[in-house]
Amino acid sequence: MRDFLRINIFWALTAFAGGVLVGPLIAIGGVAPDFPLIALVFLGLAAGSYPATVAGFLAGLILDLGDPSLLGAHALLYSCLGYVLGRLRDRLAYGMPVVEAVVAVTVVLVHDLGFLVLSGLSGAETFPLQFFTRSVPDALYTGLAAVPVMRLATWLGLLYRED
Amino acid sequence: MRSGPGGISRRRELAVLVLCCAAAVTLLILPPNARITVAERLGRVLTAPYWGARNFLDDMATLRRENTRLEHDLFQAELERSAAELARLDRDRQAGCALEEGFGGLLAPCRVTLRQRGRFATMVRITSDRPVPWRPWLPVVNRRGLVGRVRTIVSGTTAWVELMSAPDFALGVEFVRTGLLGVLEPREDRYVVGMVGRDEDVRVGDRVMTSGITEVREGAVRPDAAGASPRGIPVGVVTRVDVPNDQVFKYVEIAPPAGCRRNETVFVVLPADAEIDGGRGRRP
Repeated sequence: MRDFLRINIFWALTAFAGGVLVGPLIAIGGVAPDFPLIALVFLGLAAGSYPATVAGFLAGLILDLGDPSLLGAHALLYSCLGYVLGRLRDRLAYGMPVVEAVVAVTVVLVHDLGFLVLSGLSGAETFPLQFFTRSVPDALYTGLAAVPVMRLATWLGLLYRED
Repeated sequence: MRSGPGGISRRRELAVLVLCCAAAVTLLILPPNARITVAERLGRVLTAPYWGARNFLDDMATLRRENTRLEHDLFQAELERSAAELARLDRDRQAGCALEEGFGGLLAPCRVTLRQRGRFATMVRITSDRPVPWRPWLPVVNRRGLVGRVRTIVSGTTAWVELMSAPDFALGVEFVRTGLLGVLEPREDRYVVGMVGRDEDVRVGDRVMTSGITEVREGAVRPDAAGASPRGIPVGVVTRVDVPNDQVFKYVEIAPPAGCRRNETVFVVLPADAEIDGGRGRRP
């Protein structure tokens, strides 16, 4: 129960405080880490599919409420990514920053790809230019930012607890 | 292979995923107007408190910036008006609290960003929105009068200010009504004007302003410290006058109108050769 609370506090802080406070502070030329996705990666790896899917849905829904033009898109993508990340939990090499960074980069790219496809389905012509001009730099920066977050989580005993 | 925390089965995990996806897709396929209506209703519950708090904080920051600018403009207008008043009073052989006509210094608006809440606070930290070419011992004022002097420069935008209550604070002052000079010093919880002869004409209610004569301090860039502290900044009002039998000087106590009791806007009075805001700094 205590671990459950600590994990939830950590991912919520990472997602919201990171996205609102830290992200704008460390943004470089409009490129900023996607802290909600880093939080989702953490939650998937720390708690598994079930919590990551539910939390992903809620976090995505909250993001969607800020821009209801595609209401449900983030919720859908975050749920799916949360589930997949939870399933990856047993298949990753534990404790390797490179692996965590690669996972974060991949998650951002898959999320953005999915989102741009959904945008395209709704009539917006944003693909593929935005994918290369916005998503790739954001993904790389997210991968970079994910490493200290995951190290912090490991240091706090929230990740790889069963090892 | 684990099935998740708490022994949740793979089938249940899949069921949750399907449920979440179904909910998300349902939202996605809603007509645009219905989507916005749903988002609006959900937002009232899920995100309204957050956005309310965040917008409030954003508004506060904006208001603080605007307030700083407005205070700056207002203070300048007041100084211009009082300078004209001083010129008129000088013609009548009187005087008033105002920077002397022809003073070409700049006012750099700053916010008090750190101040001790204790009774014995002697320093505050001030921060400017833009780099300021400040130097030690430049006067710091607010709209009511002198607050203190720049003591330590941290960076182009941050400096520590020595308040008038600092133990080694001393300042050349002038009684507005008579033009009499004295030296202001803090003494415990009071402010005393020393070096005023026992036969001089000083009354309760007399206004006191900076005389333009200040100490030459170590670290002051210019030897003429008067250039850093112009004549005419209000310092206080005389609240008590005594003539001790065994003293050659009067005991004159004043109450300063200015102070740092909250995180307010203050102004660093820069010398005439300073430039802020890319050379567009305003002169009082």
